[in-house]
Parts: sequence; C-alpha cells; structure tokens
Amino acid sequence: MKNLRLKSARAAKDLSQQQLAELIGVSRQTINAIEKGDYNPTINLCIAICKALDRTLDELFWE
Amino acid sequence: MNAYEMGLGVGILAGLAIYAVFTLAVRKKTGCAREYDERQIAAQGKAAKAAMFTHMAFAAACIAYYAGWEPTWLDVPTAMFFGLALSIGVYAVHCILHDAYFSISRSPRYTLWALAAVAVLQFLNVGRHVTAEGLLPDGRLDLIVGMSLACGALMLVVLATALIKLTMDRRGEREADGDGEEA
Repeated sequence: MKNLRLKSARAAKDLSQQQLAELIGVSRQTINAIEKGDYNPTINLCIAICKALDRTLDELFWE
Repeated sequence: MNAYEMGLGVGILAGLAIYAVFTLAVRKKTGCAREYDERQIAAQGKAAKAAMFTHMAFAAACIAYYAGWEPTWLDVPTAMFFGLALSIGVYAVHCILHDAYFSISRSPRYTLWALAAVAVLQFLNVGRHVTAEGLLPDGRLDLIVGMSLACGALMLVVLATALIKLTMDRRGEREADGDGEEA
C-alpha cells in the first residue's frame, strides 16, 4: 500500500527523495520504495524518517 | 617455481594492486566506506539465495549431463567454473535490478569502467588463445580459456544490466521531475 502521508510530509518540508535519503543515510530508491509501498521499513528506519520530517510514527505509518 | 606459478602469482598480485588502487580512489573521491541500507541488505540476501539455488541446479544438471553423455569437450573443473560464474551473475543481476548493487556512497562510474576493463582483458585473452590454438585444442575446452570466457561473459552481462538499469532510472527521474513527482 502506498504511503501517501510520507510523501506529503516530505513535500511539506520541501525535501526531495534524494535529500531525505541523505538526511537519514539510506538510498533514494529506499525512500521511493517506502512511498510506493514496495518496502516495509524497520522500526529504526521509521523512527529516523519521523525525526527527519518532525512527525510521529502514528502520523506517517499507522493505518 | 615454474613460469606458470610465477605468472599466477604475478596475476594475483596485480589483481590485488588494482583492487587496492580502485578502492583507495573511490574512498578518496567519496570520503567514506561503502554502505548499504537495510533494504539493500535484504535484497542482497534474496539475491544470494537465488544464486545458491542456481548453483545447485547447475551442479545437478552437470551431474546428469556427465552421467548420461560423458562429454569429452568439457572437463568438470571448467564446467563447475561456468556454474560459479552463472551463480555470481544471478546474484549481481538480482542486486542491480533491486537497486542493491551499488552502495549509497559509491559512484557507479568507477565500477562500470572496471567491469568494462576486465571484460575486454578476458576476451583479449580468449582471442589470443583461439588465434594460437583454436577454441577446442585436442577436442577439449582449455580450463584457462574457459575461465576467461566465463569471466568475460559475466562482466559483460553485469555491465549491460547496470547500464540499462541506470539509464532507465535516469529517464524515470527526468520524467518524474517534469511531472513534479518522483519516480
């Protein structure tokens, strides 16, 4: 399932996938895969994404 | 120590020297060691599984072939090396297709040039042997020629896959930039 909340949170921060990936220390393709729903990140990566985007886990990853 | 052993030793040392220069050049350029993120590591694990089963299937096929037909044109060590190259190729192609071959910090350019250089050298070696003795001297594929053929083909397949994937990725990024979304 696509993660549109992550995509909109990233856009709200005016960050590209590449920029967000560099902030967190992953590849751009990983961010793309998470947004498209092709990859389920670990809790550590979820937390890192939330910290980078100033959001909570519920806001970005809870269904 | 005979000439063959000396040549083997020089070849190994040359390979290690080239690897050291290549690694140092990449580290100097990027400033950090190679890193893979969790998705890439998971994809590499799946690629390793695929490679293992490929090698097992190839070994089984070899056993059946040698037991049923008793071929004389290809000996077992050469056949096994083909299997090794095939399974490494499966691993590399799987990683490339799942964006897990190149690390976060590594530029693909150096790797692509290295793959091309090795492929050219291997095919030059094959060409030299074929010109001097033919492909099947005494009706049997020589181990050295077989290894060079397998390595050259492996490098070529990995290089072609990487180039196609990188081209598709860049085209997708350009199209996405035009739409305002990311591919």
